Amino acid sequence: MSAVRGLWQIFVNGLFESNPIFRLALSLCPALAVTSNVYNAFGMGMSVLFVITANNMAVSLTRKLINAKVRVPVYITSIATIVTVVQLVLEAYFPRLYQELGIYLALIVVFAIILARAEVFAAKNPIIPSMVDGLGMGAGFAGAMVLIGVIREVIGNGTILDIPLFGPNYAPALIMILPAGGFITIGLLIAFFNHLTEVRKQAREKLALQEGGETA
Amino acid sequence: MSSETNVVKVAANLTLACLVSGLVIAGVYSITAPEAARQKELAKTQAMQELVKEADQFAPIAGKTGWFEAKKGGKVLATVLPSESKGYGGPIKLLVAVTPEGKVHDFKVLGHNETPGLGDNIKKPKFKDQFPGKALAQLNVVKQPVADGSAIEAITGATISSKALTVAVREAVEAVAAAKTSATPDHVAGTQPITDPERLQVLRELIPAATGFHTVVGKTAWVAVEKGDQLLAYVLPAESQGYGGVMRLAVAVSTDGKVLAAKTMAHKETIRRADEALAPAYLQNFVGLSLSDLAGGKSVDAIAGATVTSKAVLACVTKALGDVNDYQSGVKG
Repeated sequence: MSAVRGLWQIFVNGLFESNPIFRLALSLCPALAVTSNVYNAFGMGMSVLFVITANNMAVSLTRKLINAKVRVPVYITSIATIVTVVQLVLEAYFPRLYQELGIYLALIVVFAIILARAEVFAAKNPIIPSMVDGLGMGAGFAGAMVLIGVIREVIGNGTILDIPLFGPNYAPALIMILPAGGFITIGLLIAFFNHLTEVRKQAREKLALQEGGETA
Repeated sequence: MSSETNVVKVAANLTLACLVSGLVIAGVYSITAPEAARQKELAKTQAMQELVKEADQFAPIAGKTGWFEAKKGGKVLATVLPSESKGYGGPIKLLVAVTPEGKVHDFKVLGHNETPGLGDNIKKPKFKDQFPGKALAQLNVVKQPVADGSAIEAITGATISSKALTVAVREAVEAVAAAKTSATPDHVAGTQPITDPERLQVLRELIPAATGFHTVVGKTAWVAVEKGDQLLAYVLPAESQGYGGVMRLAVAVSTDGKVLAAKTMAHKETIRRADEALAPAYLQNFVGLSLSDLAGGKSVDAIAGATVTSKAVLACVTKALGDVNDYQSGVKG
């Protein structure tokens, strides 16, 4: 029971407390570049989810074999391999997505969040928790991407997944699908998440204070 | 642990990592490559099908990479070709369909980097629908609205994208026109098509397979006959002395130096049975003969009772064959 709860903790950690984009502010480049519509944001999110999970597992499996001196090159090789596989698969089975994601796909190789999880978590933990950590971080990343994508596509283009929402007379706020809109969206979302964390922290402190008062 | 074993270990570590990586990628590639190639092919035909909806077949054009002929039941509807020009944010890649008359059929944007919401309006119907039916001279971008559709109206706030796109379309139309000119046979250069209806009538009866007739440079009264893009034959007048005076035949000589057809145009023969020697049935006997056939003794028997006339006909045919032979060796030399 506690093992499952531990795994759940690891998973949820990636979603909120250590959300790659909103809390760690890592991998902002793709968060800006491919979130101008939901389809691309989701595709990118899923690609990263897969890469980070697969890489965490690979790193965790080989953590006892890899010489500490060359761990980073080995991690990069591993990530690059997985990314290439993703690229080949997308090219063959999802050509539209492959075309849209373009160079950003190859850039997954150097996403800080993937190397960071390999180094911080997978290199020190067994395979199952590493996998769950990858899934959590990946889901946190994908969720954040989709959230940004939804906001930008709805406001900036008046559509969601290319389906018009407001009818033909809606004049979309172009700035939202331009890079500037990406910065604004991400900035506001990070502020919102910071505020949320702050509120939760205060609530917990208050709770702890009350409990402390009662026992005293 | 000594530093040497460490180095070996490090090297082994990296080598092994790369080896595994290579194997994995090779394995996946071998599975996905055929599917990726199929998808690419599919995307191409799909794009072309969208472009020329009526077409049921796309035949690649020999010698032109990426060019296709969109056909329906063997009839060419349009030439589909890729085109590209520099837009505001990078290259704009298009697939353009050009009608056989040299007008824009339609185009499809394959890839671009134009500003979302401004430049990417080049894909929207309001702008795009201006193109179909436009000829080369009408493919100019203007900023003011044009009522008669004699030009392309730029998208507000995206003049550069509008211009770039129009240039790409124009270049495609020009390329098709250029390809057509270069595909026309050399003999057409500097000549005029035959327009006189009476003459055309005679020529068509003479060579039913022909698709075009042109004058011949430096040869009055000669006609170059085309079938499609190919020069098929020359039709030329030939005269000789008959029994009652000068007779004139129109002889069609194929480019390989054989009689293709002949027709009596004028004569003054009065003797009995001369008509027989001038009739189509008799002239038909000459078809397929070449100069070397005649030199080798192969000939057409004269009509009994009209030997002189028959010989005059033969002389006309021989002369026509000789003229074409001289002309062609002159042209080639």
